[in-house]
Amino acid sequence: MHSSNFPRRLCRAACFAPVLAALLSAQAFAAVAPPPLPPGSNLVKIEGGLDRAERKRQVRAHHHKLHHRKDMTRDDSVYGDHEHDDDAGPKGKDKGQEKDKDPKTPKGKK
Amino acid sequence: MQKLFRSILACLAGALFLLAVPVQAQTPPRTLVLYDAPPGTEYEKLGMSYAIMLRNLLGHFDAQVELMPVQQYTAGKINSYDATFYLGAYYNNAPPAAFLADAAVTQKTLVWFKHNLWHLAWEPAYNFAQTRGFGFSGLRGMNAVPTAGNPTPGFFDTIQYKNKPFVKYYAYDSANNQINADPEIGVTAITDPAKAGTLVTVSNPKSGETAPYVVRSGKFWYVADLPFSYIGPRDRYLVLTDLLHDMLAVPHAESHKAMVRLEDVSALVSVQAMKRLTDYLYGKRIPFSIAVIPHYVDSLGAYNGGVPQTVPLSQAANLKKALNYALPRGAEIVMHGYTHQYAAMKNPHTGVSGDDYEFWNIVKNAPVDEDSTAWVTGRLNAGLNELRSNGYNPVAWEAPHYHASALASKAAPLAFATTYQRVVYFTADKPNFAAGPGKDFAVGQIFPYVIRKDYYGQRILPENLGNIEYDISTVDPTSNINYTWQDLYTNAQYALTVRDGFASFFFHPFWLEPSLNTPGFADFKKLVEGISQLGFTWVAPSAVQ
Repeated sequence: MHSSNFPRRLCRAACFAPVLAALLSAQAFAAVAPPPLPPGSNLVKIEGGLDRAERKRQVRAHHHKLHHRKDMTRDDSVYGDHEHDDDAGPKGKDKGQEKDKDPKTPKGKK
Repeated sequence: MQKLFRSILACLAGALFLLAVPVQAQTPPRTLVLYDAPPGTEYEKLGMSYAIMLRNLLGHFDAQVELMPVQQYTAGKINSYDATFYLGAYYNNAPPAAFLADAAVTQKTLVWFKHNLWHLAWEPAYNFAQTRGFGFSGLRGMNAVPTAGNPTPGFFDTIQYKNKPFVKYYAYDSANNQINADPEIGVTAITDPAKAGTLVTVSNPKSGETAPYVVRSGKFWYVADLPFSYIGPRDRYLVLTDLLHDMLAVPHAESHKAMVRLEDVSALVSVQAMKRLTDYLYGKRIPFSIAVIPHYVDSLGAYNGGVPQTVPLSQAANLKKALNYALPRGAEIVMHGYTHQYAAMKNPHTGVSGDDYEFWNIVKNAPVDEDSTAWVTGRLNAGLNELRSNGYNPVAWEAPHYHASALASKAAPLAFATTYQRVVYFTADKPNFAAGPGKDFAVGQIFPYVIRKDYYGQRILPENLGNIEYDISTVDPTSNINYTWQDLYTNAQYALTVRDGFASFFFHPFWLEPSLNTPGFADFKKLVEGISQLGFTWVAPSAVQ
């Protein structure tokens, strides 16, 4: 390519691109025939978002019969898990209960 | 000598200038999301629901997002955006000529999903294959029509990404002869490897075939399906959440954080269980959060012998004891509803806090009758007042059952700077789900990373692994699912494929109650230790940027 022709060619390309774009935009092409749908397409039910198993995990209830008439003031870390035993008194530390660690920040408020 | 001296001075001045000038922060991308909205069809709004889901993911990048039905596209619009996405959700919804003409020549980022690429690729005037280096071959779906005798004939269901298989959801309902899946993909083929390449493949295990799933030609991307249907924690949706970084050229650093939340903690909570969990996490110096239901209501007396019961936080002695023990040991509070139930009705279980929906009538599958910004903010403020008057300050909001009306979700940012949840999105504030043309869609979405601003204006911290479940249906008929700590651990492994993906899960303290006889505590510890060993760093919700 001769260097003296390059600016002229560049100018032609720069002028032609928007013209081509405008022509492509304006021209009504014959409709493109779509590809055939695969077998069973008519049976497909599309659902956006979470799949059914994931949705089911979100909607479960969080209580059970063993919460019936639970005493909400009876600290089971002191009295144990005797939810309906009104005569049970303090039993000392329950199995698995650890000694309170002493954190540096004051209790309660952030 | 003087010249040399001046040269040295000039160099020094330049170096000092470079040090003083702050590095330019990346400008958030401006994006356009075009979607199919064929009028008068049953799936008219499905594309919009996908567009909302993509808009939410773009919120991870602080993007400005405009959503638009593709039929409204006007010539040259693509040039006003850093990236344009076209969601080809509807078969043979021909994009307007103006869009096709721009798509044929644009040098801006354009990401095309699934359908209607043939209108561009098969029209000779657009010279698509020559320009982009790949061609469109056709559609593939099920290998055969499923039947009761052959319910799983197979399809291109396995996307391979970062050495992990992402298998698309599939379920065949033989009773109704219905395929609950999204099996169709657009099949492409590279014609010029110098111009285009396959970044991700999808395989068809039953036929043994492999096809391109994500193809890239410079700034033109093609994704073979629409990864917003039937999503889950191991779904190809995660592949898109990661690739968006490359599509938008936003180089987030590799970073993997973990969060744990103790869930549905109300007046009924076991202090012993909370103390055991707190001591364990504190012993490992793992910060955690507690999803607190401030105001306990048993509206129908389901657990009180038929006598309605209300326990405000001021009277919830065990709950306060548990919170006061946990807060100085690394806990933060998330407000999880005001009462986590609705009125004096079963919605749908018992009318008891922790069981039922609060901001959605799940029985009617509609907003509750009172649904309004004022009603919702009233409840949010009531919960905040109850917490704060007892000395507790929540750092985030979590909608009960992750399911609130559009107005409720839009109201959340008025009271909370941060939410910590999954979210359900709707194509209308008062959706009409009745079958027929123009019906609305509701889509639940999980996030593997922080969303700075979603469709409803919420900042969202992710919960993406799920929660441990045991089948105790003999005790509680609704608890009939097993979801093991190994399931959540596997989900965490998948989350690692997202370069800044979180491992975030929640856990119900009642699994430690001896009467339920589950290995809850042991499994909780195995999961926490497993996530740590995967290399995730535990963070508190308030510390997440």
